[in-house]
Amino acid sequence: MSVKKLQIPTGMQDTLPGECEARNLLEERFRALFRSFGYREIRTPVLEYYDTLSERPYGYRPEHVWKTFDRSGRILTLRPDSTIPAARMAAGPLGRAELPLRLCYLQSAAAYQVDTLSMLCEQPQAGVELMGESGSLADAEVIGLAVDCLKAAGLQAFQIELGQAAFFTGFLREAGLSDSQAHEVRQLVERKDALGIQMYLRQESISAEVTDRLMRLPRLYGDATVLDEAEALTQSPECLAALRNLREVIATLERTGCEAEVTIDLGMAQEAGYYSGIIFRGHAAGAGQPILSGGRYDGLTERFGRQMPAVGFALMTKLLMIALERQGARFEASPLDVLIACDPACAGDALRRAAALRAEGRSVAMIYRVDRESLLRHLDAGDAREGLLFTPAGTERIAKEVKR
Amino acid sequence: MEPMLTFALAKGRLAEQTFDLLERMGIDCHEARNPGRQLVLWDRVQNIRFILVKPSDVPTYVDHGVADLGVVGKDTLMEAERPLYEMLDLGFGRCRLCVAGFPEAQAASVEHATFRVATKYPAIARRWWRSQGKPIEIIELHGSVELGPVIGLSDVILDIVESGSTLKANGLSVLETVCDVSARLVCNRVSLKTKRDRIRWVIDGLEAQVRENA
Repeated sequence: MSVKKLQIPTGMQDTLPGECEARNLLEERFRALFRSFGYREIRTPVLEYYDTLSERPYGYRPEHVWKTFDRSGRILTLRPDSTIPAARMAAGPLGRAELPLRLCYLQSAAAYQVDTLSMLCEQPQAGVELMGESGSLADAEVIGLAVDCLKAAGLQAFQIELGQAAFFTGFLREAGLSDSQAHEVRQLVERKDALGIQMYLRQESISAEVTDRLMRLPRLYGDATVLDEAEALTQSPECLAALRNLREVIATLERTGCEAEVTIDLGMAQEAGYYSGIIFRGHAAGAGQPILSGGRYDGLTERFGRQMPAVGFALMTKLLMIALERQGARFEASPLDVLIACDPACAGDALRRAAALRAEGRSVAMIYRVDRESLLRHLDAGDAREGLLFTPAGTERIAKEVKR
Repeated sequence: MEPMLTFALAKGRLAEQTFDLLERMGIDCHEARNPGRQLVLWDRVQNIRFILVKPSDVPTYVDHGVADLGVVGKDTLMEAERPLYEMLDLGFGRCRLCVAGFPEAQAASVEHATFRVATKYPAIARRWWRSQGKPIEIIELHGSVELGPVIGLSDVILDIVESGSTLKANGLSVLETVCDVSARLVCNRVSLKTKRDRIRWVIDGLEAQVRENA
């Protein structure tokens, strides 16, 4: 057997029974939560036209999406997220649906990771989109739901971090930077590289006063006092409105008893270019990267011909499971209730017994030969709680203490 | 107990100079300075551990979050292209990232179909010449890059230059400066938030030390 046949493409992964079972369990909890908030589940095609996803200024760059062609030669891509397809759906097939529209999904997204080359390219995600509602209450609903999901998953230590795309862009605009300068500064702020900002702006002959102000951006993170600090730095109505939005969201979350630790990072620059208002991430202790991200994207649906405000999040289920594992959780397939080994001569009895057990709601698997050793090995491996051996001489029950 | 902090440090002079700063902040670097065969070194009182690794591995450890903080040269950081928070210029390990070669190399290269660059920094080289709109062929080397032009392997090199004496001894000179390099304190993006106060304490402490030294 050639080893090559066992390979799978870089960035893809198999999901083995233990992980699969745990993921199903998590996804059932998310599904129930989404449902309880009135979100309707959708599925979107695995392939979309590249044109749908690439349109500037929001779009994906060609090197970040998996591409193929249809028969006529049009470029197709694996869906790199579910938000753009949901926005397309809300403007197209759901174009006449009454607003607000609450949609949710539990499906994978595949993109070449912008950040780290070794990372998973296919990410199972669970997410919601709340469309047709603007304002802080809608923002808080979605963030609160994200927190509920993380709690339902059993995650111990985590943090929700809020940023504001409108504050960020408004702040750069108020400083009078050109588009290309703003782009450069955005990247430096994303690295929290205050020194880099200083060097760049000096080279661009930007005044010392503006430079000092922009150099504060990378350090505008922490608890809510950061909002006071930021308020003192700006007079732009856009920025002040953005800060007010953050205060309202935090107040609403507190009012609704959200116990998550909520922090601020005003230097958070959005990865997806379509965010227009609040943006947020979830950080788990022990995970090297965010396990959930989301935000408000009021301009996105317009490009499909239907203008409406919208906010949503995606939770990266696999990254969440990695975080859970690092916090001590173990994902193993649970044992079957009964494993039956039978002599073909007694197959009638054995199959009737299996059917009766299944009718009681128990899980039963068969081995179609009398192989005591194999049965014992399965029981030792914890595959089943109980074994039944059917031979012409009679029926033997073997129960093993299941260790886990 | 304070949450544990993990430092990834590049073995050698950068690590030693980092220990100098950390010790003045009251962090015990005795074990880390004398590692023997140990790979993980502790200050158990402060609950800080150190790992000493190859310079180019520092960004990797920090990006994956197994190290919260790292100290590494700006050159290594630019080459690694990893999304890290770059919190502080520590002021030591200063040098320049330069294009060097025989002075006539730049002019002569116009006739060549391809312009060959020998370097330990292929990613930086690709970005630098792309920004100049010039096609190049990269020859990746792991040491004695200066040999490239001398022996005819490449037209120029892209490398760090401290005093320039190695260049001079081989008849090469600096043709262009790409950027200034110094040691940087980098931080994992999640750690900065989940261990905020602890990391802020390290950053502020180091910043105060750096300012004192300046």
